[in-house]
Amino acid sequence: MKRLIPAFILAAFTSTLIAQTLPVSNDWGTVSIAGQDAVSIRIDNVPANRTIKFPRLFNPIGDITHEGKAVKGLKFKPLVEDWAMTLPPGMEKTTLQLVTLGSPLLPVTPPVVQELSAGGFDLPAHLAMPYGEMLRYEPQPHKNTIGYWVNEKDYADWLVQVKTPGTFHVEILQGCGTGQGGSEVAVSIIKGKKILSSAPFIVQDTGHFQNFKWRRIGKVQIDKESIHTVRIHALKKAKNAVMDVRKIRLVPAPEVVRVWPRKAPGEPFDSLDPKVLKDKISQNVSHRIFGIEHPTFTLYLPEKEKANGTCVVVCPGGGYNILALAKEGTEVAHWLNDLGVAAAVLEYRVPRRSKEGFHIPPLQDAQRTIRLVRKNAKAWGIDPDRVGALGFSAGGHLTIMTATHWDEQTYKPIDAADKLSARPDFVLPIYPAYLGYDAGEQALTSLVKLTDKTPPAFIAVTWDDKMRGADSALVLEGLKKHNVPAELHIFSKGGHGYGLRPGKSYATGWNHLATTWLKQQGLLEKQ
Amino acid sequence: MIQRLLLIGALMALTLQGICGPTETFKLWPGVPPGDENLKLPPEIDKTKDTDKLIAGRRIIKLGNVSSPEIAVYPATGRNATGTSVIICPGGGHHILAYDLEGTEVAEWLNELGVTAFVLKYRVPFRDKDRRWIGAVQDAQRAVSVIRSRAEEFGVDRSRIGILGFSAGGETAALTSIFSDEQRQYAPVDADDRISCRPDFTVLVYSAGIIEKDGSLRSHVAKSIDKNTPPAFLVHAQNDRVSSDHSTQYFIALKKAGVSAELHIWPDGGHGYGLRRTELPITTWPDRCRDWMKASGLLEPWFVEDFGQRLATAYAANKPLPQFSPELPEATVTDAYAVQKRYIEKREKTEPIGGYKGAMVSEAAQKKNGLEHAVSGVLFKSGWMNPQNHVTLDIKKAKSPAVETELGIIIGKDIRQPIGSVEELLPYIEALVPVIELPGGPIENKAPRKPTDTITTNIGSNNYIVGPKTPPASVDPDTIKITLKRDGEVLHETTGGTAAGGQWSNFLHQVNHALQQGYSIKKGHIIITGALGKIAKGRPGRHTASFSTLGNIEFTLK
Repeated sequence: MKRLIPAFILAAFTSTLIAQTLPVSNDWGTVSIAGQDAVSIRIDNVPANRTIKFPRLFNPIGDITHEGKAVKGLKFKPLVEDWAMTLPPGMEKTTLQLVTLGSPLLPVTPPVVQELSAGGFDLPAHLAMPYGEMLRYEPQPHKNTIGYWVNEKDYADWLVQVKTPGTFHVEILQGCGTGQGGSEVAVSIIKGKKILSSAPFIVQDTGHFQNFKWRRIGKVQIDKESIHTVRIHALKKAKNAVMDVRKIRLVPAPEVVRVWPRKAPGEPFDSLDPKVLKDKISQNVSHRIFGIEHPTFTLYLPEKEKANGTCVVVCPGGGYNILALAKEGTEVAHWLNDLGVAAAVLEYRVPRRSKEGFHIPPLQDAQRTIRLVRKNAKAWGIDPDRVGALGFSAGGHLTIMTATHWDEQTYKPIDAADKLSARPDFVLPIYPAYLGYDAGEQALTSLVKLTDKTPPAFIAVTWDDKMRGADSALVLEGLKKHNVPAELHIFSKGGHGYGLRPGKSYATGWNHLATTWLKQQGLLEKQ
Repeated sequence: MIQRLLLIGALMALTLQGICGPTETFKLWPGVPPGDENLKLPPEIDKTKDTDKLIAGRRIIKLGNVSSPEIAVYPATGRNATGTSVIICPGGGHHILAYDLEGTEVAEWLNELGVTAFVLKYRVPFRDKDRRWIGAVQDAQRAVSVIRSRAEEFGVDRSRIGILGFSAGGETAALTSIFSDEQRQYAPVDADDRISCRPDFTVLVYSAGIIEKDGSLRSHVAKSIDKNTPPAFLVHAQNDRVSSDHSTQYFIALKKAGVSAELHIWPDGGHGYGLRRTELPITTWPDRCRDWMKASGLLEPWFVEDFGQRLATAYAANKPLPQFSPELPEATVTDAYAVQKRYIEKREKTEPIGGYKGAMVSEAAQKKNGLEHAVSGVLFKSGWMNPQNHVTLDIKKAKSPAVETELGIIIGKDIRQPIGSVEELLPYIEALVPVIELPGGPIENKAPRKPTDTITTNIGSNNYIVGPKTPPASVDPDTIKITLKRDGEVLHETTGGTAAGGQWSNFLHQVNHALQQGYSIKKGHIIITGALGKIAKGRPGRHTASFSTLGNIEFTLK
């Protein structure tokens, strides 16, 4: 077993210092730096077994060349501590070039990985320190992975300089051969000898060890600003090898709040096969949600200095069947946070629970979310009188439902939170759907019950989005009749489902108009 | 073109000297306007009183007793002159004309956008109390016919004549837009009236005259709106005493007729703000109108069509492509993409698109050219070659003076919307492929090549050889080592990672850029990121390019 170097010693080193430890001389020759992204391997005496060994680098590599040409017949092998090459017959005194990705780094001390500007860490295989009998870094272009994980006790460590403590999603780029899945592995945060936090998971078969796929496997918690070790270690090996790991990512994870303490109201629905729901849930990925049984909302709080106390419940769209969580959720939360506004991104129940009244379970989820935000307002630095709702497409419909059905009891109250008002103080339906009828008469459905107490609204939509622009125009006329101030922007082009992403159409500029509107409503002022 | 440039230069010089205002004013009718034959009115007068409400802190002109309708011409000048023109109808309840607030000030703004403005001084007060609009609409219809008839003289495009009106002027503009040529409100007086009196687009600002008191469309409006009604842009404040339902109902009627429209309603603004900027957000409506005109192709600078056509003509004639920067040194990268798009649209009529390509992918190349991203172009299917059979190319015939090694992705599923991250892009990719690009096609060399030249000429898009497919998840394209050899001699060696930001972020940029330019990305399209390593000169010989695990491409140049 290799020895672990105490972290306090490592803190003194930087990656540039490490590179200066080349050249390294051996009895067969010398390894030295040859420019920005290559090392030179000078062979003076070919050993009897024709195999030369040199220390492994903290780099993925490209081809091995001689005078600019790839060398044929050369066998490259990453050993546990060293890299080895067996020279083809006939090759004698010569100089080879090994192309590296990035400046060549020697593993005298592992580099300390710094935080990304957006927070969190990228932990590529080549920066890991593998420990044990067999586990090693394999630098070849098609590999670029930690591999040879045949010994259960082997593990690999990264050192991270944590400046922003918090909870992190653990994502792993993993490959595993057919029939080789099932090993139990954990990504853990370690300080000294203590495991501070751990995310265990089961390895998935990806068809091939080098067929790498991203997976989000759990969360870890880091409480202190300091250098920590991130370790990937096997708890139980299922087959011959555990897996190959190309990269691990720690992504800052905001707080997730369950909407209902137990089962959500009405669950399970006879009209939705639990197997179907389970299957949908298993397909969930960070940017797209296919199934929700237990609704949650994720709390994105703005920087303290910026925070103005306003909070928006964000309802992603997706026809009440899926949730476009990145495009119409997290990306919107980041925009709101930039404005100093807190965002609660709601993952309401999908897919539809029934043919009729399919908006009702999501409305229950949204109403309770608004109440929970008000209940926890103090703890989260939110003004309970400035809680709004914003949603896209089906989520835009849901937003209008919260604005027009807030005085209806849609579920049996559970606790003190349910005594609070579910009326959003303002709403921003963006390309809202299902407000009217796509064909036939131009009218709003009976669900859109506008009254004097409907909250002020900002609506953005496009002309080329079925009849949705015309429906929104009717909503504006209705609000005017009830003296509810409202703003409406119908862009001539843009279609549907663009979120905040700059794309084909200028309609994506709606958020600048929404910013002005929020400002005009006094919602961006600190209170 | 040189003459045109000189003219623009002269006009710019005039503007710089501070000579604003109309270059010309002319009477609309050869004789007495229709219906006024037996009318006697006192002379034209500014009726503004010192006690009148100020708008944005300034007084306005309220022109009364207009009996001699006129047009004041404000021509657009400069590089951005578009050929688009707008007839402006000031408001004033058919009693007076808010001639500066809703007339001349609008003309100045339109001029800044490169749009020629015609301020219409239509007749007030109204002549017919049941149809207050009749005199105004006669004047406006006549104005459209006269301007269209004299389009060449005014230097405007006869198919891009818009009408814009405020309040009662909005009613005038709306009715002029919805009435067909058969609904001309006067008997033709001369040859000009043989020309269509219908504008090509409509801008209505706090318009009146659309609905009845009960909120329904007025009958002459309801029966006139159809699929031939021009597209419209509408602005209204929700708290206007003239109901915003005038605008919403006009929008809905257009939508039902299948006519494109844009509607902006702000909660606060009242009536009669013109385009004087205050703290009220509604006074930013001219920016929204500009965006709409731009999205509708109305603000396209004249050189887009002009240069796009010259590129297409040169290409078709197998001649060197004209160089853009010597003629328009001040043009931006955005201008250049507009020209490229037009050139591609013209070629696309006969050649299907094969995919999209990048260039200047290395940070060094971008820095040197002051760019933030790689540049982009379009690949045509005609240039796509597969190396199953060894590809042999005649350098002269193929017009390929260079050989580039690149990485590409084959699209497995149509991409319709911008993509947020590499992870979201991956499911759309069928395969990663090695590519040899043989850029070429001669370009005029009048001056040192600028990025705007590279972009307008579609960055040398020509022939490309696409190698074997590899599933995208199984390889890290940044670690691909690439070697290009000619007859055994190494021409260059590089890795995929030399693209600034890495290959994946470059693929993502190219995808989103193509979508932003309005292209569609279809299954089977290829996207290549740009030359990796040194670009090799196209010389005869047997070439081998190895791309590590992605495989090799072999080809011969003759």
